Amino acid sequence: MPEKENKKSNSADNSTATLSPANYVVCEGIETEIKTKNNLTIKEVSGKGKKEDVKIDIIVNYCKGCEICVAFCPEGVLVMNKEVAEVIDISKCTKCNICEYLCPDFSISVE
Amino acid sequence: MSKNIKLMQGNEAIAEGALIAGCDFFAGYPITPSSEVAEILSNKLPKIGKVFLQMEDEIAALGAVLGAALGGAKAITASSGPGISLKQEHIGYASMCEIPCVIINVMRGGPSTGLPTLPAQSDIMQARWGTHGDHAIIAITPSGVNESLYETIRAFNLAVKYRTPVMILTDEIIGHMREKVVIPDKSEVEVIDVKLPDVSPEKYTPYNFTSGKVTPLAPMGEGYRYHVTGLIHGDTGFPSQKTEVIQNAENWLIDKIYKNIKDIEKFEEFKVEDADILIVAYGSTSRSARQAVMMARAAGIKAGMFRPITIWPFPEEQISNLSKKIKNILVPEMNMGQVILEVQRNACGSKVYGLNIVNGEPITPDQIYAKIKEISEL
Amino acid sequence: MIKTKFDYDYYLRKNTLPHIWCPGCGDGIILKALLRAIHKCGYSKDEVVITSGIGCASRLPGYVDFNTIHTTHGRALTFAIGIKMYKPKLKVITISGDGDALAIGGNHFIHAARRNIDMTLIVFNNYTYGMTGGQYSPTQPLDSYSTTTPFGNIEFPFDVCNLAQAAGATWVGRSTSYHAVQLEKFMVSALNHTGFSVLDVITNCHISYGRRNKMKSPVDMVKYQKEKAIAARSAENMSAEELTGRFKTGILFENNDKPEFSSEYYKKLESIKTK
Repeated sequence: MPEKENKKSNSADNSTATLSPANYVVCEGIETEIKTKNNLTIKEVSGKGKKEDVKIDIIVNYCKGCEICVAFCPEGVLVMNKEVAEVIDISKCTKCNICEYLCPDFSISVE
Repeated sequence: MSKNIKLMQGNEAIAEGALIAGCDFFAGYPITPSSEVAEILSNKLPKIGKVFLQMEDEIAALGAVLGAALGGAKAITASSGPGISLKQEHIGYASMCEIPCVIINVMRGGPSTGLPTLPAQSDIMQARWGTHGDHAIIAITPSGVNESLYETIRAFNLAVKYRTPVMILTDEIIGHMREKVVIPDKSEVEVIDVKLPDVSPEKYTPYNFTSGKVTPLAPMGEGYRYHVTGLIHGDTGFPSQKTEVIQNAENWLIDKIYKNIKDIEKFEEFKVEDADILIVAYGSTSRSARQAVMMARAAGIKAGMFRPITIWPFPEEQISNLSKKIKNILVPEMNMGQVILEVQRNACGSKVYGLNIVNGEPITPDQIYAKIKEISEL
Repeated sequence: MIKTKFDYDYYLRKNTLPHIWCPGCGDGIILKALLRAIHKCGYSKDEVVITSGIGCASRLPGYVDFNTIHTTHGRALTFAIGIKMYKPKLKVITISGDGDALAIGGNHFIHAARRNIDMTLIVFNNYTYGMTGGQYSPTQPLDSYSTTTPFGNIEFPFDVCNLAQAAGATWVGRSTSYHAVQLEKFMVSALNHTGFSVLDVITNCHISYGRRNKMKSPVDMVKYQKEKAIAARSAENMSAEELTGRFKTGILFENNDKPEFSSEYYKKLESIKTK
């Protein structure tokens, strides 16, 4: 599993993580849009959450695989996939935003 | 225009010089024999609406000076040996981050607690090398009260122009003695002010290690936002470990001062044109040396004096040139031999003698003259 | 109701992310809460100064688009006082780790509190010297392990909040990086307070502290914060045994009557002028 070996990035010269769209697998059955913005790769899952429409973005380059969002999501929306967080069931999302509050790396956001 | 002449104490003259230079911030800590600078500014700065702080320790004093300087202040602190030792880390920080400030060291006997109320000249090498890492420093050794005032103004100008800490190395004799001072009007002296940069905030970088020119320091809070760190950094101020950035930074910190030495150097030559014996003396010792030269001349000995006023960067070229003609050099100092090391390093083939008297008393003209006579008879 | 996500990018310096903090380090959580709090308070980027000392927490200023000064170990408050007194209209925030603020920086901590100067100190309290590899710090719990207490720590830790209050701070609070929503609220309160405010944020360093003390993943340490934090109001009704190993969160002390240093200084200047 070479692509996510170096999670801790020495950003003195602004290097980003080694993941690229070709290197990871998206959870089966989950419709994920892969976007690129400013050299960043973003996995976006949109759908109907528990109460309303929700869109969850995960900036793959920033996710360091700490698993905090997965562990503290009260509804089980997220899962780790090859050491990057990923949406497994957006229909459970209540938009409580705990994942975003607790993500130390500006990776996950909820809209 | 009638001159404004006053009898002033050396420390008082430094405070006065600072105010004429536009000083608007003092932070310090009490220490003999420098406390008068703080006491006078504690009175004068508030009266003109400016900031005086007595901080909780010497390190905090220089920290506050540097914080204020980043806000655009013309900031000064004053201390003596033990306090200057404590300030070393922040002196290095000021050098690395290129923050202008003036640091007064009223030298006293050392090492350690030493002689709080007696003079010495033992902090010359500390001024140059005290803080860790490669850096340059500007240090000035005035020899009298009047000169203390004018050199303090020059110190502020050099600090702002070269974005560097500048030290004034006076001593307990000059700090506490009283002499006549001709106080200039602000319009009569050159004062270099802190200004906003010419470029827009979007284009501004707080550092530029390769242009050969000093980037003006934008005062914080005026629209120019940037990062300052003691880590080696690139032009934007953000830390870097790229080899070329590191080398450029290290080169710049030295070159900034040494490539501008012609603008920073200052010295006095007294009767050196035909001298056979050269006295290299500075600070209060140079007063006795001047008298000793005159005594020697009266006795038929061709003595002369070279007096560094800017002691760092050291006047290597002048010593080197003088030593080509003058084969005997005497360096009297109130320390165990510090400036003599620089003279020896730069003197081409001259014999260099030291006169090292460190007994808490000033070196007298008689003592220097006796040594001159001894050398002339060899 | 469509919730627009917070625009962190506006406050971040370009091309500085991803930051150097380890995966799961609480520092990033606190940084985000701080940006949200600064935004809520309505300060412009030009009026905010952030100073920091040395350590992991102290790397924060490099990432944010304010006037930022990464100073020397323990001395961030001294630079902060200098620039605040020179330009009192600026909003000055100091970021410091527990070792930085309370060991080498201890003297400046108590004097800034004594003066009650208008600035906010946020202590990133992870019970360790993380940057240098996990040596013990003045807030490390008794009997815990570190690289320099391999047999267990026998020193009593500081209570950051008690110390701040005793020294004269007029706003004292504690939260954790887990309690991110509360953290943001407390930051707003601290920033809006006129006087010296100290926010003790219990945060997680699983790399240096956690894995030597049975909490080797970030999730373990965040769970610790969730379980061991107790709201001060609830703690009032609990016995000493029930409170063992727990720490109180909340706005623990607030005094809006004590004169603030920078305004007192400039008031005094006015009175000198009129004499």
